[in-house]
Amino acid sequence: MSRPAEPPSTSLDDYALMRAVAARDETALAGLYDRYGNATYALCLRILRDPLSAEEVVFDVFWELWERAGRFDERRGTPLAYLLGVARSRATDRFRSLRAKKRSPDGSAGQDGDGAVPPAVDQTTPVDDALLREQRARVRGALAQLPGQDREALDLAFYEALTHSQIAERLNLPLGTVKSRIRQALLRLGKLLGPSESDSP
Amino acid sequence: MSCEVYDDRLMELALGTLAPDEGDALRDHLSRGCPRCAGRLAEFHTTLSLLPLALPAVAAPTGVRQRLIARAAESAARPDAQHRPSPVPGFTPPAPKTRWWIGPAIGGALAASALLALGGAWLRESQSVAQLNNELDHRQRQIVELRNALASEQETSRAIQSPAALMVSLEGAAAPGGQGRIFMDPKLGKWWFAARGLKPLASDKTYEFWMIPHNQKPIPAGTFNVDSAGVGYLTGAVPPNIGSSVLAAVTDEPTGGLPQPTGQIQLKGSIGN
Repeated sequence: MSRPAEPPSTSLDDYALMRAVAARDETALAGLYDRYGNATYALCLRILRDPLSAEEVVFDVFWELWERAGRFDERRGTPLAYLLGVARSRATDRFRSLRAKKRSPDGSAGQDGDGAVPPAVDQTTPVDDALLREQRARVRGALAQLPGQDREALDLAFYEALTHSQIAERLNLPLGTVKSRIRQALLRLGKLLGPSESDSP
Repeated sequence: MSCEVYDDRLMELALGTLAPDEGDALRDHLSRGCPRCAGRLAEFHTTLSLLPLALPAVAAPTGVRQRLIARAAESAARPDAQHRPSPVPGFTPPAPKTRWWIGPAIGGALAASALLALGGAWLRESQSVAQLNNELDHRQRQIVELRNALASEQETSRAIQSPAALMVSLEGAAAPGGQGRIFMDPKLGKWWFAARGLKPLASDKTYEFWMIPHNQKPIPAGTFNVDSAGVGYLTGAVPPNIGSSVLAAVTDEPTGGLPQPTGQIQLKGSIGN
């Protein structure tokens, strides 16, 4: 006879963890952090290029999650998309603010923290980690299929939050070309990553 | 006007680079509930949200986690206004009237006030104690759950890292986009299964996992359901004498599962030769 097996509590899905965070369960917050803390930090570091600022933003992002998890709408996307969306937005705001403060006559930007970044330490569960690694490989594979110039335009828009006009200026290209490259990149990625990555509830 | 004129603006909106004064027409259009453009925007958001996964893996500083969880635990332990015990109703003395019994009444009222105040304090104290007891119970349950989870995780980790561990992929048969992974440790006699991309089923149905040894009947290995993201987990013991060539499959069955498969094969894959 079949016997239903209870999944271990560490195998709660992201949506269940979000609901538990909304119910003020800090162990669920720890679970989400263990799953996505590194990815969130990597994103903030990529945008801010400063480990200390990235660390502050990661803390703020997860604290915001703790305070506002009840507002997360499952119909509008995955918890990961929500988390990284908030992280990108906060990191971009911080980057603009720092850039405004640090803008100096020689145009020096923020410090590059690449040398100070510790290697990733795996804190996810083995099964979660295997799934996340697979997802990472899939995204990297999809990005690798984009023409370099399309990817460059998308990177500037996504990680540096430059407007299409600013990208056109930076790359010395007509505005229409920039729009076309970003559009092609997004549409191609959407097709390559497919519906299974959207994880829509 | 065709919605395609909004596509560039939708991209900029998803990228967060649309200037506030440039998006009025689009925001107005979206607020009217255009399903095509709302869907397009959601697609752009979803695609963009995956990009950071391609970044090189770096470790977030451990101090962030410690500070975060400590602050969250402190915040969770602090009852907010709506969880605070409701105040005990106070004693409202009657309006003073000059009567012959005023003197004794004042004494009585004061005594009653004192008694009510004491009673109120006692009630508040009792409520606090009850609340603390509930909190203690909750924390003790959490400790037990965490210990169990840790033990389970350590076992999983050991098994997956074991040289004897097998990892097998299951691909969607009737479930396009469905995927599964089995980690099996024959030495430990356990397996772990994770599925994703499966459709959530109606309440009277469940997914059932099968191990089918070569030339033998399918062995039911457990039932599971998936969450709204299509993810489900299952773990169990390796059936005795299943041999080295086993087909693993997932079917949809009535809730509770059946001793033999009747539903469609949603995922399948081969373990061993």
